[in-house]
Formats: sequence, structure tokens, C-alpha cells
Amino acid sequence: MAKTKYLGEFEQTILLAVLRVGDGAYGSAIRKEVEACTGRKVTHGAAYITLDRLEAKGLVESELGSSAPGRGGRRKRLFEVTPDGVKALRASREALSKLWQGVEELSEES
Amino acid sequence: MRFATGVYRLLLLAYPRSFRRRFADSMTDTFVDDLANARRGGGTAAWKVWMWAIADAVRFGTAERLEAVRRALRRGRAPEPGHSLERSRDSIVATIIQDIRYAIRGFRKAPGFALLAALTLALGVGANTSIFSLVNGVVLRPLPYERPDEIVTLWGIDGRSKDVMMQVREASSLEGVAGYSYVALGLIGVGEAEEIPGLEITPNHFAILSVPPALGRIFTEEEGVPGHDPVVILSHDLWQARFGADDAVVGKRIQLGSELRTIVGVMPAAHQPLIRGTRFWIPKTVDPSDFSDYAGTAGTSLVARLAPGATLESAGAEVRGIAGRLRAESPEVYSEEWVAASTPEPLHRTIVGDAERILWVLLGAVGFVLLIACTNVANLLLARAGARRHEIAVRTALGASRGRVVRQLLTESTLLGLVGGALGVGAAALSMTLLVQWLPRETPRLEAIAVDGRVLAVALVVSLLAGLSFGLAPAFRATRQTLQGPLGDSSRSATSGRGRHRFQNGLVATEIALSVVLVVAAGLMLKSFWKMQSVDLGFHADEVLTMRLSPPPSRYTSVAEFEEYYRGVQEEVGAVPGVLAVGAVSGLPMSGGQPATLFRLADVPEDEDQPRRYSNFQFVTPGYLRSMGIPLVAGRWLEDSDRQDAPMVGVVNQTMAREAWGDEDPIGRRLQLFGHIDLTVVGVVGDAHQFAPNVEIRPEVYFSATQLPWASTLYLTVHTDGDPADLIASVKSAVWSVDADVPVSRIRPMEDVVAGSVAVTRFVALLLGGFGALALVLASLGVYGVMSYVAGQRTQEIGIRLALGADANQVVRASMLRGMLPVAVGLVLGIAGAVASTRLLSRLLFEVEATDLATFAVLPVLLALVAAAAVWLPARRAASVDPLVALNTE
Repeated sequence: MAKTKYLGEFEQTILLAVLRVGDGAYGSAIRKEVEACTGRKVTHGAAYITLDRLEAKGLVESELGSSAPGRGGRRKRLFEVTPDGVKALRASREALSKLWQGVEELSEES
Repeated sequence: MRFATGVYRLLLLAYPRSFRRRFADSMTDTFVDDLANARRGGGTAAWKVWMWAIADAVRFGTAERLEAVRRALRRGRAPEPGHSLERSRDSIVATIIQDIRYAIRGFRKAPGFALLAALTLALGVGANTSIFSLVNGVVLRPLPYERPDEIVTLWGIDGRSKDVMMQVREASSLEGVAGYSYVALGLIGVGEAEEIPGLEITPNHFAILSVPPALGRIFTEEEGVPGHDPVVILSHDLWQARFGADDAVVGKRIQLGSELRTIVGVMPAAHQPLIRGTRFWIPKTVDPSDFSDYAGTAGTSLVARLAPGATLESAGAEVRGIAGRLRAESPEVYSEEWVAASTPEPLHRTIVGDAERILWVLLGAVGFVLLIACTNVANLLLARAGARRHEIAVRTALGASRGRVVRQLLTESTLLGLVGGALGVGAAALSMTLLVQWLPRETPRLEAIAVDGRVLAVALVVSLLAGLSFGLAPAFRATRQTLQGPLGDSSRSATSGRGRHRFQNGLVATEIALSVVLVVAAGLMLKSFWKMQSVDLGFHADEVLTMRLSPPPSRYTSVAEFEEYYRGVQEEVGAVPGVLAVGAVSGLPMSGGQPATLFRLADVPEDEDQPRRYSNFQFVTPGYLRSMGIPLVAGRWLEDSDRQDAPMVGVVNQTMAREAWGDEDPIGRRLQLFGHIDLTVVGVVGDAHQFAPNVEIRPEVYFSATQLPWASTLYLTVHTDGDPADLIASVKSAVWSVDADVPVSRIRPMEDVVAGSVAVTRFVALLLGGFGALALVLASLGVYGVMSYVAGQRTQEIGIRLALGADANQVVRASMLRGMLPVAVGLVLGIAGAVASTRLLSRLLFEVEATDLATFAVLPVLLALVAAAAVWLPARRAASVDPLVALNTE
């Protein structure tokens, strides 16, 4: 595995949403989670493309879930954050916190 | 939904295959869910769902593919074998994007060319989109009823008697028959008293059309029985205009005509009544055991739905059979013409009628304009391709296949097509409201005209096809040249691509031919229109104000009351300053249907055979003929003394006098009308047009309105000193000063009424005139462009000639001859084409033959002159160049 990659903003959002949804995290649920928490509208294309890229980077894993009833037997693809993904999230958060430190003090002063 | 899913899966092809393999199903499912949700009315609108799907596909799909290509290049190794097919597909998409970028760069470098091409196309596509939206809204859109193809109207056979109705109801090929007839009643008590048009219908009317009401309910069978509480259903327009779109209007009572009726329902806005302008429906009250009530209501039209399995032909045969049987039983009641006329007609044809033909002709005409525009752009592209010879040669030398270069050129032309098309559609959409205003008021389904999905789709296809068509030939021609030619050619070759010139000449000839057809057609229509305008109508239309008065029969029950009312009105209005004369008539001329009756000479022996002849008739007050400026030719006017108890008299028009008595003096002769009313002719007046300037004048008899009670509604005609519109307010208040509860409606200067009768001809003439002018401008620009280009190409040759001592004028003449050759060919083809196609217009022409010599002689000559100028200017310019400069030009 190469060194921890830094995540783009939207990639972080998606990863966090996957973590939040937990079990049964498939495309629509992840999208709805993002919309519910951030109020930001996410299109299917954006969500799935990002999940694809995250999987290519090895930060997320996916597999076909068991056949869901009433959907013509189509199986949903479920996502899970990998340990590498969790590491990448932490690293990004740490980097951000460090950058925020000085700024917070400044804003509190004014 | 399956169709939508299919389209969505096509969209998904924009994404790389690996992505699709994993996520296509999930994405499709989510899309289907969102779309179903939107269709049910929740959350986002359906079109937004589509828009996002398309945007996603374009944005992320292409981005992912580019990314994949970039990754492969960066890693410096071939992508995995499983992806090989994907790669070639990726590369196609990538090259298309590359082509588009390249094309845009090229346009940026030559903005003038791009702009000219795009605008020319915008003109063509925009005009076509406008006319197509007319065709779409009026002709193509299905009627807003359930399974509209099954609905027919019955001609000839109508609901005139119990026998007819009973037999028709039994017909096995008809699932249900409903009757309807026009009725106009005064609406009193809700705002201004006004007489409004409506339909009297059998209770099953709406059931047959399968139209659910927007509010309330439709009529029940019981409401068609006499004695039931009178009810009414409102139209959407009336509901909005007079009742403020109040949801609680159901159950309220309104005074309509002589009855107080309860509102039981409101029809939706989308419903289209069988007669335009219908604002309410009331049930026909007929004792179901005795249809004899129908006998009085001549004019009950029938509408029916075909039974399952029945066809128009089988229903037609059955209906004619019924008519034939009825005639066999009572031949004096049912005439032969009636039997022959008894047929079912698809409702669509009844409603759309003549408009269909006219609109298709207009679409054809505007299609010509598009073809001319495309020809112009093709010429532009040819010229540009010629100028880019070097660039193309370099690309070919660097290894681009011919197909690749052709594809790139086609991308350019398609892009031009799409951009021009988009501009054109935008312009068409913006000018839609203007266009609809210009349409003749009687255009069927005016309300349905809009730039909708189908119109947009057609515009898109047309733009694409246009782009491909005018790009194809130039693309192939441009890549035909061999490598040696432009690259290795530094010699001063004076010859230019002969093939290209021949093709360009062909385009010029086509343009000219198309223009000739259009210009000639426009000329014929304009001449027709002008002739119609110059017809002497027989009355002075420009100083007369008209309005309709409808004293309610409930309060004006006797002829005396009716007479007193109209005398009072004429007195009061006559006293208004600016009013020169006043009269009233049962039906205004030039405003549509005029009543007619059989007439016979009443003072000849009974057994003498008389031909079946018809005469129009009008009921008038004595002042009418004078107020309209119709002159008295012989005898006397109708007077106040011609009243109910006086001998029956009438005044005839000159056509009637000629028709009935030839050269003999008609004064004192006797006529029989309506089968039983005899009158003496006391006067002859000048002929006045009754229908439209292009319709022959029919025999007409004028009665005094008080001698023969017809209907209490009359049209007031006021001869004014000056603009009739100025006196509207004062005349109205004069009328209401006699009785404020009499509805006054249809207030119009007579001029407007007349204009309405020629509206269709005017519309077609102006539109064709516009197209003809456009064609002329585009074609001359095209010819000018080609000539300029050709002259530019031949600068060297001209320089040589001049240097060798040729006379400049000679050179110009030679150029002109060469340039006019395709023009001449085009003119000949165009005239032939015009002769063949103008017969399509013959129904619309008035006093002008479809092969009118004057038009055919003058207009092509005009076109030839314009083309000659377009040919001469560049030739002159080329010949005036300095020979040295010319020789040095490459």
C-alpha cells in the first residue's frame, strides 16, 4: 500500500456517510445520509463515481448483497470502509484540525 | 416507465464499462425510484430528474473515461486485456470530444464565418420550428378526449326527429350517441349582463367523450327529463372570469336566460368543447318517451363513439342505410341530398378541417427556406474547406486517415447545426406569443399551440440532419485532394478544382429554383389578398359600429314589447352626438353562417314547375340598410308602418331580382318563403357581400323585424361620423338607458368583422410573403457569396488576361456569363416546379389562377435581376484589380 493518500472534500463526505449508515450501506442510503446531514443535494452519478474511485484507491470495499425482495431479484451493492479508509479519514481530520488551530484563536480574539 | 428505463440505460453508456458493470443496476434502480416518485407528484419534478441524469452522464461519464485514458498513459503500459474493447470505445468518445474542442478553436479563429453560418441556420430552423409548432398544436396533438380516434360526428343525419334519434341509437356500430346544439343565453346578475355561447347537450354527452369534470359532476339522465331542476355546468374560462375560480361555486344558482339554474360542475381547462367558445353546458330536456320535441331544434348535431370492432366504413354504411330507410318511409321529409350527406366523420377532421391542409402547405414552404439556408451554409463550408487545404494536407501527411478528417469536419458542421438550431429554437419560442396573436381567430385548437417536447425533439433532429447534410459534401470534397496538390504545389497553377465549381454551381441552381417556387407562391397569395381587399363590399364598413343586443325572452314576450324596445334604443342611440344613422339586423354580413330558405314565385300558376332555389334572408329595422350605406335601387325602403298587422312585404337585393325575375320589374311581385309565407316585393337594394369578399353574392330578402318575429336578438349597426371605436361608451350607455338588464355583447367596428372574414387569406399571404422575401435574401446572399469566392479563386487567371491586354469589360462579361448559367438553370427548374406545385394553393386563391401569367412572368425576372446584381458585383470587383497584384496572388 502506498502512503496514506489525502482525501478530497467530497470523498471525505462520502466515506463518513458510509460509516454513519453502517450496515446495509448501499448507494441510495449513502446519498440520503449526505443530504440529511449536510443539506447538500447529491446526484447518483457523483455518489457512485466517488465510491468507484474510493474503491480503486482501496479505501472502500463493496460486494453484492443478498437478493432483496420486490426488486425483481436485483441485488444491491453494499459498501464498507476499509481499515485504510479509516486511516485516511483520521489523517485528513488531523491535518484539518492542525490547520484550524491558529485560525480559531484568531477568530475568537476578534 | 420501461421506455424511460431504456433511455436511461442508454445514458449509462457514457460511463466506462467497468463502472457500469458494478453500478449500472443500482443506478437504474435509484433513477426509476426517483422518477416514479416525481411522477406521483412528490419531491423533484420529472424533468429535473432527467436533467440531472443527463448532466451526470455527460460530466462524470466522460470525465471517468478521460481519467482512464490518462491513467493508462501515465502508467506507461497497456490497460488490462479485459478492457481492450472498452479502450476503443473510450477512444471514440475521447476523439469526439477532441474534435469538438478543435472545432470550437477553429470557430474562434474565424468568428465571422461561424456567426454567419450559425445565424443562417438559426433563421431556417427557427422558422421551421415556429410553423411546426403550429402543425403540432393544431393537427398532430391528439384531441383531449379518451381514445379520440373512436369519436365521430354525424353529418346529414342529425337529431331532428324522434325517428332519426331512435334509429341512430340502435346502430350497432355506434357505442353511444349524444346530441348537442348551440345556444346563446344571457348571463344576468354576475357582473355585466352578457349573452354567452353555450351548448345544449344530451346528458350522455360528457360520458361519450369520457371527460371527467374538474369540479362537481356531469349531468345525470334524470336531468334530461322536463320538469327537473334546471342545472348548468360551467367552462373553466367562465369559472375563472366570472366566478373568480371559487372552489365553492358548485351549488350556487345563476340566472341564465329565463331560468335560474344550479351549478353542478365545472369542466377542466384542458377540455375542448365541440364548438369553440362554449362557456356553459345545459341539458336538453326531452321527454324520453316522445322525442317530438327535437323536431323544433333543427341543428342538433350528433357525436358518437364507434363501438369496439366497428370501423368508419362500417359505421358509414350503417348510417347511410338508416338514412335511406327513413327516406323510403317519408320521402317528402328526407331529401336525397340528405341521405347522400349522411356520413360519420372523425371528430379530428370536424374540428381541424381545412386548417390541416393550409398548415402542411406552410410547413412545406418554410421547409424550402431551410433548404436554401442549408445550401448557403454548404457553400460557406465549401469555401472554407478550400481555404483550409493546407491544414488538411498537413494532417493527412501526419497520418490522419481520410475517415478521421472527414469525421472532424462533420463534427464541425454538426456543431454548427446544433448551435444554429438552438438559437433558432430560442427565437421561435420567444416569438411564439406574437405568432399566435397573428393567427386567424377561427384557427382550431389555438390554445394548444406551444413549443413542447415533440417540437423540441423535431428541432433537434432537424438541426442534426441539417448539420450532417450540409457538411457531408464539403467534407468529402475537401479530403479528396491528393497530397501532391496543395503541399507540393508552389507553381502558379491557374486552374482550380473544376469538380468543386460544378458542385457549387449545382447548389446555386438549387437555391434559385427553390426561391423561385416560394417567391411565385407568395406572389400569387399576395395578389389574391390584394384583390380581396379591393372588392366593393356593397356597404361602407369603415364607419359602422356593431354590437349585439339580447333582450331576454322572459321579459320581452310580445312583439309589441320587442318593437318598443328597439324603437327606444334606436331613438336614444340616434341622439348621441356623432351618430349619423342607426339600424338593427338579425345577422351581420361577413360574420359566418347566414340563414337561407327555399323560395318560390307566389304569383305564378301553382302547377308551373319551379326550380329549387334558395335565398338568404335577414330581419331588419327600417334604419339598417341606410346605416350600412346599402343604396336603394328601385321601389322603397322598409318603414315603421310595415308592422305585424300590415301586409307582408320585403326588400330584395339585385341578385335576387335577377335570379327570380330576370329583367322584369320585381316591384309588386310576390314571393313565397319558408314554404308558407307570402310577401310582396316593395324595393330593390344594391348587392352587399354576405360571407367574404371572395364568395359570390347570393339572393337576399330583407324583412321587417316586427312583421315576422324571429328572435329577439339583433345586431345594432351604428353609422358614425369618424372612428366608430370612439363612440362605444356613449352608444352603450344610450342602449342601457332604455333597459339596463339587456345584455350587450360583441361590440366591434364593422371593419373588424370584415377583417375576420379574410383572416385566413391574410395570414397565409403574409406568411408566404415573408418566406418568399427570406428566400430571396438568402438566395441572393448565397449567389453573391459563391460568386465572390469563385472570383477570388480566379484572381490569377484574370490578372493574366488583363496583363495580356484583355478589356476589363470583356472579362466582366465572361465572368457574368459563367456565373449566370447556374442561375438560368435554376430559374427554369424553379418555374417548372412552381407550375407543378402552386395548384396546392388554388383553393385559397381569389381571382388569380394558379398559373397566373403576370406573376409567373414578373417574379422570376425580378429574381433574375437580383441574382444578376449578385453575380456582377464580385466580377466587377475582381476585374478592377491591378494585374500585377493579381499575378502575385497565390
